[in-house]
Amino acid sequence: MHIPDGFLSPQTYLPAYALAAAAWAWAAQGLRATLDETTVPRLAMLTALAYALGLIMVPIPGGTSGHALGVAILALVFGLRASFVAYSLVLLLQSLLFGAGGITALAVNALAMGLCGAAAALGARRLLCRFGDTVSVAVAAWLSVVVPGVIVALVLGVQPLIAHQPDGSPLFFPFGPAVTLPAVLIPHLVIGAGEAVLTVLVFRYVKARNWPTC
Amino acid sequence: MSSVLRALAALLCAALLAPPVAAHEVKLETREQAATVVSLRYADGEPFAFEAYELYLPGKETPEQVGRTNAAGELVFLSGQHAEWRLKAFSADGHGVDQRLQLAVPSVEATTTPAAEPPRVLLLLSGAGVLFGLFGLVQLFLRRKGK
Repeated sequence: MHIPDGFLSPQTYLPAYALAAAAWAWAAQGLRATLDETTVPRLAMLTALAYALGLIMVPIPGGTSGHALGVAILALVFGLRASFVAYSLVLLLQSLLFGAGGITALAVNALAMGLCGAAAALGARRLLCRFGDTVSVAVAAWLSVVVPGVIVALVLGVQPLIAHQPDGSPLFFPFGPAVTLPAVLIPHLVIGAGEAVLTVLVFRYVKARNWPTC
Repeated sequence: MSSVLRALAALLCAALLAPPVAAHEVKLETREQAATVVSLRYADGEPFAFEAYELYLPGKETPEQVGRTNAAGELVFLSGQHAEWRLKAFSADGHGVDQRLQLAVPSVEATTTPAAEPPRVLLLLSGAGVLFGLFGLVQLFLRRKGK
């Protein structure tokens, strides 16, 4: 799901950076109230978990492979602002060290996975909390993968429409939404199920240690 | 006899007129020569197989070569006298590369230039080190602030 460099037009990534800069500033302001000497080591541990999860590729039926995100557990334990900042840091490191996601696409990746993924997880958790931890956390984690998948597929899919040569040939990513939506979403429906299992397990660990959660 | 000659003349004329028709025929010629092979793989080692790619010369907007990678995620091209190329490879699910290729020797002889990358484990640990270091600084900042 990490969009690499060269796939997005400047008309996409420049406004995305402006939007992400505002979101990062907003998130950083809220961090001071969230973090203390107890939460920082916990946030460090779960951020490192998200970083490592993003680098473990799991084969998916159909010949492709995918990886968990880990953004849901960050959101459910630390809230939207902290998880957005922490996951943006994860994306930056994955991009710089492994080329997983581009620097030009960092803002889009961060907004899709770090902000929208986390927001989807928190929204689902709050809506479904009456069904118990397991159901609400599992659905939250599944949505934290699927919602960014939809956003990434749409952002990729509109590239041929917004950046093309006079003859209509695309300058950047060449496939439209009719191709990108199923290509991105179908594998991520499966990845989301794996993310749900993993998030429920980590969430139970967190609850067993009486960490505060959202 | 004259009718046979007329038939042969007609056949000759038909043969002379044949080249425009024969232009629809695709002729095949094979030869062996050194070429540049680019291998594309996902991070887990799976080949970037049967995906679309485009090869450009610097400053050109029209690709010199387009196609799909083979089952092993490889593409092969003749660089000629051009050492610098730009490779774009896309899969429909958003994976791929857009990268400049700098060839040491334009494919006169077969040369292999393996990518000089540090081990993946080392990169993974470096990233984890950066993360814990940053959060350690935040912790230090919070402690000092608390005093």
